[in-house]
Amino acid sequence: MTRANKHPNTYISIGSASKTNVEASHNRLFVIMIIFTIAFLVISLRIFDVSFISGETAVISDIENEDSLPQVARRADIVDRNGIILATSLVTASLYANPKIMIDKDQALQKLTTAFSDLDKADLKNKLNSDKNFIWIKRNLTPSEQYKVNVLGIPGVYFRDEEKRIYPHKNLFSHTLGFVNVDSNGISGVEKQFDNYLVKKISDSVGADSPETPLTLSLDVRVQNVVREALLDSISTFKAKGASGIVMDVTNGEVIAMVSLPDFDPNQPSGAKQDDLFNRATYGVYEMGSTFKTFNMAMALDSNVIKMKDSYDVATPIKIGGFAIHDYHPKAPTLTVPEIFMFSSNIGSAKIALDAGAQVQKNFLKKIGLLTELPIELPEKGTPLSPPNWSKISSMTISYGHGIAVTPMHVASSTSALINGGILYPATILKKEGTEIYGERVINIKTSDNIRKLLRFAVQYGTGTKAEVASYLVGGKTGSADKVVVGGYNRSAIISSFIGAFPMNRPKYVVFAMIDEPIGNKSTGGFATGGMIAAPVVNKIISRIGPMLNVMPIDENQYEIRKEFWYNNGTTAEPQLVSSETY
Amino acid sequence: MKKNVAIIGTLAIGLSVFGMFQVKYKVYNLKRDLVEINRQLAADKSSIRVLKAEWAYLNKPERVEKLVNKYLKMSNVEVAQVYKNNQVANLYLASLSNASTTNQNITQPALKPILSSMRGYR
Repeated sequence: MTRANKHPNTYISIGSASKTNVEASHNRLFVIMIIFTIAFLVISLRIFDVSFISGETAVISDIENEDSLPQVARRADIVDRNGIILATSLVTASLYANPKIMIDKDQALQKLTTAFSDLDKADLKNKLNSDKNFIWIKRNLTPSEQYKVNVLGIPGVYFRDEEKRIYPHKNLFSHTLGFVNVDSNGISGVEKQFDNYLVKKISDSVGADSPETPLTLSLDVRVQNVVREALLDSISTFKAKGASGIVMDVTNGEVIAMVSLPDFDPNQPSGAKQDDLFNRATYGVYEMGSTFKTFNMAMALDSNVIKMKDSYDVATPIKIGGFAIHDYHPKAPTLTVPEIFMFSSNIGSAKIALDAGAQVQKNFLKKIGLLTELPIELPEKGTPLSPPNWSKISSMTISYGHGIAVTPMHVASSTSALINGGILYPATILKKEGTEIYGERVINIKTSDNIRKLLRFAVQYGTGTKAEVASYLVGGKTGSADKVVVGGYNRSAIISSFIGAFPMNRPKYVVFAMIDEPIGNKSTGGFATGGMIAAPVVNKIISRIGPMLNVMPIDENQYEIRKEFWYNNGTTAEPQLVSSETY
Repeated sequence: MKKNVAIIGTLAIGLSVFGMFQVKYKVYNLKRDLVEINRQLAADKSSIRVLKAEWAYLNKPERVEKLVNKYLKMSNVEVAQVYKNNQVANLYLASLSNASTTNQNITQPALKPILSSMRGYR
């Protein structure tokens, strides 16, 4: 059947087209329309999807791509009390290469080794010729080194951002700050203690913010440096094994300086020896010797066992349990309480301890924090060693600092409590200024006044004269302890120490210095005692940090100041001024 | 009538589509700027940290001391040199009256008489 046969009049005529033909074309048009409709529907749906649903995130993720943002340090800074940076995290570029896409390996090798003289040429050549697609060339580049590499323009080498902890002061704060491992996790010191705090800071801040709020310590860079230098000096002069020094604010327990020698560079902790890493200031426990007599006196005075005007017979050594207690500086057969302290009489101290009794002594030492770990915010804290059964003998030896071992920080903290009016503040390395501090009363004010007098007398007329700094009214107590060796004491190995404070009419700072195994020389007359070795160190420290810390010099001849150090010797009704003529 | 509605409707749709695309691209550009600014901010912060670390390093007490010893003729502050504000004023007045009576200090530099009298004051 053809069109021509059916419509003989016209070849093509729509108007007269047969019904079947019109229907067929309608059907065809309809199918095409549906196809087009579906196609347009798909396109418009896709447009809708792109502009409102999936397109949004695709575009944003393209411009806000995390990788394209420069990486920022993730660990907060640590600063000193004046805001000087002690530890900071920097983003450093580390250089790596993909040898597979490197064009000219020999030229790259040549360029890199001339730019960085510390690169091992042979090693790098091996690495470049390996079939790996990632090799480290040099890690943690300085910005200028990074610039140099960019200038070289070697194809196939790239940078990867890495975080590096920087300690600009190097050895100065090694033990206090501690250090971090390659993944920036705290390993020791403040870095470990406040690990969560230092890292948490970043998650609190938004987006690309770097940690803004640093951790503020109570330490002072200047004071720390003075203490370290004085101790280093002493170590080299007296060929000592080590040393430790502490400066503490007695009015709130803040540690202003804390030094332990030998030390290490926390930027390269792997290079440190085991002994260098040991914190002598808060971790090492030592028998302190005569500096403990301060605690003994406070104990006896506060429990009313003795009065300042009392005197003791110190003529004969005490013999007990097969050993004898001697005096190293015998002065007179009978000594008053201040004299026992000033001339560091072991016999007198032991007798006072006996009068007080072992239980009173133990309770008192516990109260002033000498038998327990310190509250200081460091992971390296030493627990004091005290006798398991507190016998009469241990009571006597403890009175002059043997048979009990504490950390230097214990001595500084407890002495602070004895001279600040009797309040024990928890030792802290965080800046407390502006916050309320809670202390605990451990002795009454009158005892504290007497302890201040005793310490001042010891420096004015006693064993600590070398610590005196004109117009700073230094007070203090010397200590020389024989070191414990297996099976007894080593008489030739001494720990020399001095606990000082200034100005003694109203103490602000205590300064503790401890020298481990010094060897006496000509200048000390061969002695290695606390008065000869440690007292001059404290003198050096006080005379330099006093002006730094705004401590005003005091006119000793003023009536009000002289009155502070009146001493009633019991022979006259009126209090006497202790003067140099008495001794 | 019907025709007008259709024309206005088409125009309105056309305009709103155009407007939407305009706003969209503006926002997109702003977002890109924001990201760029944030990137710049982070980079600047990063370099500030580097500079701060360097500053702390250059101000190490050890280094400053070395430089002072090399370039300045200064010694440590001594305890006797520490005075309160009002004390200094009195000392200055005292030095002035000294100068006028003895006539000794005139030839010396201005600071010296004050310093020497301060030492004497102790």
